[in-house]
Amino acid sequence: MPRSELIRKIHQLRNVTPSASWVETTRGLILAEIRRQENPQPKVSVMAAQPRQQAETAAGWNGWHIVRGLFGQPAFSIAAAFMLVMVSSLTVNAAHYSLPGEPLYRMKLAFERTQLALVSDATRKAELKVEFARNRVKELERLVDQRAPGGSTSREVNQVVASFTSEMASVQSELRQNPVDRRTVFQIAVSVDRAGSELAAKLGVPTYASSTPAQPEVAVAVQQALAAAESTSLSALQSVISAPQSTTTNSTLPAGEIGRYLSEKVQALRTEAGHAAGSGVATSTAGTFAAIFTSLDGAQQDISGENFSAALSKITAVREQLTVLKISGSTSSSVPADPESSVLPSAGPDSATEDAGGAQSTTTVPIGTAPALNDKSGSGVAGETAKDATP
Amino acid sequence: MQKHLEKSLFERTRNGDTEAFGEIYNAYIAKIYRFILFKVQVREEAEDLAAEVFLRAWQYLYQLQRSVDNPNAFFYQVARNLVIDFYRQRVQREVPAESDVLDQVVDQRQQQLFQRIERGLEVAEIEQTIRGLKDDYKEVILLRYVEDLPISEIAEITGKSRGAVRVLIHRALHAIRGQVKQRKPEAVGIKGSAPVRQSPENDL
Repeated sequence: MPRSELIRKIHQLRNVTPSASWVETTRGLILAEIRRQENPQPKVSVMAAQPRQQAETAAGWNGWHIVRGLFGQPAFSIAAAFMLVMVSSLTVNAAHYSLPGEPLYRMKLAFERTQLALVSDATRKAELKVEFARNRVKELERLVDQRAPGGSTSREVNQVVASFTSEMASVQSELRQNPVDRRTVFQIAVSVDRAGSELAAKLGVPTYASSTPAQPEVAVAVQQALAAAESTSLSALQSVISAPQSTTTNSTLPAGEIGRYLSEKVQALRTEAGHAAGSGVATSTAGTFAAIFTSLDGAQQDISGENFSAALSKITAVREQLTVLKISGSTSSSVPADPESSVLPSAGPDSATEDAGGAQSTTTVPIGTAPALNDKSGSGVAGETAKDATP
Repeated sequence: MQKHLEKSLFERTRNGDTEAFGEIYNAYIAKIYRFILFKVQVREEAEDLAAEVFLRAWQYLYQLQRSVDNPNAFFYQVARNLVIDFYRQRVQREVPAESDVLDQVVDQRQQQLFQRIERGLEVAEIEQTIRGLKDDYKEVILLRYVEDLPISEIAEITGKSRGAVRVLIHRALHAIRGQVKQRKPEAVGIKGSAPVRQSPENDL
């Protein structure tokens, strides 16, 4: 075949073009997002404003800015421009609220990636990733609420959980590769745990009930996500506690805060264990619950003696035991109820990080069993952002 | 787009003019989308990445206040980097062995466009051939003969010398020619429709 003929054939591929509707919609979304980003935003901390508030702020600013700029324009242009702005703002808002499977969801994820791309500060990156993981938690909550037929909810739940897991693996990797001050790591650990507790409370989990959930695969995914969140939080906390003082990059170890937080964890686990015992969950060996309570007592003593590492080890072990019981969910009438409590676990304490530089994140970080941040053999990075666009 | 006009649009974009950036978007979206589509082969992913190219471009121009000497090279480099990162993140992504763009273009309008092309089978054939090339070959062929970029720009985009680009193009064409010779005529099925018959009067 002559070269010219071959090239002629290749030229025909120029007919491959995107659909006009997609081009137009994407243009509107991009421009609206750009205008939204131009609006001065407060620093996105792990306790960032609710997405709804941000979206409403952006919409309001966009609307006023455009209306103000339209004075003197022909009426038709004003009306058309106003509609375009409103549609664009509404579209951006819709993107913020979109869920997996919806057309604008991919755009939402693209917006998140671009935010990360231009952030070089390791702390800021980690905080943003936690914020995005928090978005996944909110999506998870809404997905589970929808209870779509045909298993679509469980598929999308799995997608969100996987995305969340990826975000948190990335957070761990970020903190491992670019160590930030221990106070920040502690705040992130608490943020992760808080969000998990909130999700658990909102979804009505953990449950040790014997009845099969309407969507068991969803229940398992959620349980695993919550377990992963706590695992990540505990891993981050372990790295803070176990790091030698010489590696402290910046702030001092917030011992008092850690002690209070761990005490609250112990109390929460005690309550949860009591509920598990009261629901008649079967145990493989007699006295499992007794051992759990004994371990928690030991953890509390360690906390009092500021032996945080030992306390955290006990807490982690109890957490794993309760997670196994939660996921297995079998019933038995042989286990005596704990006299302390039969209520669901609390949503988590509210005071541990009140004085930690204002970091009051409720971000959840579900992720699989994760090594401590100072464990170099931990899982690899997932969901890392693309590098900056530099020709 | 004329160079001086394009330069003005970029300058206005650096000053925060979103309407100017919208014009830049209009000028580049189709070719960036096409470039990415032939690399990732799935329409939805190409759309996502193409949109991300422009978000990055805005942030690069406006937030970082960087200037761009060669807009073409700039956009293709951004797209290229994003595709590389895309595959890096999807290390276990499976590429369908026997699929082609026609099967994966679920957009009915796009399918109809292919069907309206006088030699539809020829397009499918050449697309299949190019898709089967290794990435280096595919990239230079697309940039040179689909996007009509000069060798100098392709060199800038790919980070290779002009001589290396010329060699790649020569080898890529040789590879395409060889595959076209080897491939036997066969019906190409469009997903959800009857197979394309090799008759001059295509009744697609």
